[in-house]
Amino acid sequence: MKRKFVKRLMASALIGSMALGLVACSGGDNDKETSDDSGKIVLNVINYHVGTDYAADYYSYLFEEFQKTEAGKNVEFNFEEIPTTDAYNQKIKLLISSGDLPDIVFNGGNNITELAAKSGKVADLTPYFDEDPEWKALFDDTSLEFNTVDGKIYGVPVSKEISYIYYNKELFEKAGIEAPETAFASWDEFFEVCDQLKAKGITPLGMDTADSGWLTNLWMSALIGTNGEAGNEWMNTMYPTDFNTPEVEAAAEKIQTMFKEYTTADAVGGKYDPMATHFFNGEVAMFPNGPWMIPDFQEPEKAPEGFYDKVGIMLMPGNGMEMVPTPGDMVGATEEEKIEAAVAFLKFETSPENQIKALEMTGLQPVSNDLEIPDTLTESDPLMAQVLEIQNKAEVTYGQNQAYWYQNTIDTFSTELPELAYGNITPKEFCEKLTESAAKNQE
Amino acid sequence: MKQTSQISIISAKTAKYIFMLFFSLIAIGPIVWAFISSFKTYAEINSSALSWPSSFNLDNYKAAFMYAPIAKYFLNSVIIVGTSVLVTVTLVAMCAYIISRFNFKLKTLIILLISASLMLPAQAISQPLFAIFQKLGIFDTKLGLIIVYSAMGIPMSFFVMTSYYKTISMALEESAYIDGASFLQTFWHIILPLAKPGLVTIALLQFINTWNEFYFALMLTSGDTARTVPIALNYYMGTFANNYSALFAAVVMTVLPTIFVFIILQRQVMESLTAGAVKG
Repeated sequence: MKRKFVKRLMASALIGSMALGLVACSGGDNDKETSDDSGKIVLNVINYHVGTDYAADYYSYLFEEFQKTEAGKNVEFNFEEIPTTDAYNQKIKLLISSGDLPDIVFNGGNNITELAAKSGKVADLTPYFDEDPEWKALFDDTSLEFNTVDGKIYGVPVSKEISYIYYNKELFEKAGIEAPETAFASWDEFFEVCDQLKAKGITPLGMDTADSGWLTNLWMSALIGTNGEAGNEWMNTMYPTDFNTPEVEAAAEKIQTMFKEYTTADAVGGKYDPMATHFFNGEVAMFPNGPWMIPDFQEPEKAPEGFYDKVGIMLMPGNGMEMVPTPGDMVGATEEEKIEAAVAFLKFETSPENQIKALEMTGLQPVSNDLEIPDTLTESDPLMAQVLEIQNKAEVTYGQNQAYWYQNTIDTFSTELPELAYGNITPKEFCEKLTESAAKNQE
Repeated sequence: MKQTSQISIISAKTAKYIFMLFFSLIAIGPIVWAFISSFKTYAEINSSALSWPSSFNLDNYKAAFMYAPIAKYFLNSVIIVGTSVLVTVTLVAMCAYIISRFNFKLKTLIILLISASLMLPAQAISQPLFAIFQKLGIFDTKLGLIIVYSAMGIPMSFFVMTSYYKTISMALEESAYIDGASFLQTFWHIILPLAKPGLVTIALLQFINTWNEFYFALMLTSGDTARTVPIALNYYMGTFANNYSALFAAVVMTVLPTIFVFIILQRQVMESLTAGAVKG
């Protein structure tokens, strides 16, 4: 009898605690606030620059400093943190279709400008640019056009993406090679140097195939983009559909040779991080990448002490450099005062001072062309200063596949690279597969 | 002759142990590898996947707590997953029993509806769920995730349990009814104790599936109040800056509960999996 009573008591307690738990679990505060009790404007922001993200500290600084300005003193931020751009892109696409966008919409990796603009859920920023010619003058036509949909500007570009070659000065010296001041004159010269390095037992190049094959993509883009007018035009085309052009096929052939002759054994199937570690450890001589890698050269967790001083910078052969405008940040707010506040933040984010700050803290390249670079940067970060200097010497600029190709074609590039590297398919067949993949977007 | 048979017994035993050791290594290998990697530096991890760490210290574990609110998300996971397991097991235990034992109108339709829900991809229902949850005021709440996880877990658990109930002899219930037991008494005192291995299995399956669930935990939450461990793990994988050392430390900390739960419940799971395999 007593046992029965205890059992019943326990069952009641269990049901009670479950009910209480469920009640306690509900009732989250998810109303979209316009202003808080103090009358401040509350801006909802989804921030993916969190955790170990390269720009986490910079964005934390930016939000904090904005609130100290005249335009931002009346603004409060309500953050939702979403670590990684992949997760961010998944969620922002859902929010675009549900119409529940944050007030400031960051553009994270994937270009969502057109999707957001066509959904009618983001603000047309053209009037704000027209009202403030000084602000508009900070951006060149290419950057603004990249963020324009149907004649209206929706995105505020915050940086430019560039990439070139990092080389290990010590390894070049060991192989008796004198590095060029700006770039090798031609790809033939570049491959001759690769042979010289190889003859001294040094692996010449860093390459990869996994995760979209970032490094190989940079080599391939350079091989196409510097191959005459036709190649350059092709590599500056948004969403190309024909990959069986002489320039692309020639580039694929060179990539196959590079995998076979000039890179590490783990490049096929390899991801960016282990390949970068090869470069940090002095195991490969040349590595293509952008300025965001520079802070890593001084990161004790990643690179050996003194590595920063061993790194040199050069453009791609033929004075080529990858340079693409970036998809800009947008405004998802619908109320006038929130739109004003969001635009004020975007103006603050793209102010010349903060473009320099972003460069110093993260390696993000200024979107404005003629910013005055402080002398202190040359002393504190000579490599970064050199990047700013060398990019003006680029004679040929071109895009890269992650910015310009269809997503499924980028995936095909990554999955077919091992086949190309192992010689299971010819360069022509590799290009045919890319063409087939791109054609699926036309159906 | 005797010696020959002894040799064959020893060789059979050796083969058996080699076989078991091989599969144990396959199963344990990744966990041990993650554990060892959780003490390595970034450079050590990327230089060689199989090397030994230069030193064993807790720096990576400290970093794991620094980058992400892992403790908070861990607690959320325990509450959400624990409750959803309880809800799923309670509902399925009753529902599957009725379906497996009784015939009634619309029974086939109910089974079809439950089966159909197995076919729904998460992406297809995320937007309607998002909108409904916002209207109901359960967006970004633990309750919201508990409801989704329980609903997602019910179909598979339902099929496991209906099959399990069918292995329990009807004669036991008939004897209970003859002895004067009511329906509820029969279910509570006769059927449920016999169905324990099956219930443990569905509890375990539900636990593993929901503990690792990422998509809804991301889509249906916006803050720290209801986010779970899989989201926390993303904090170590930022753009151009992955921290694998801290990630492995976090993985070790978050995978341990799953292993412990399995160790505690493994006997019942084994019983459930082998139940009905041999009919007397």
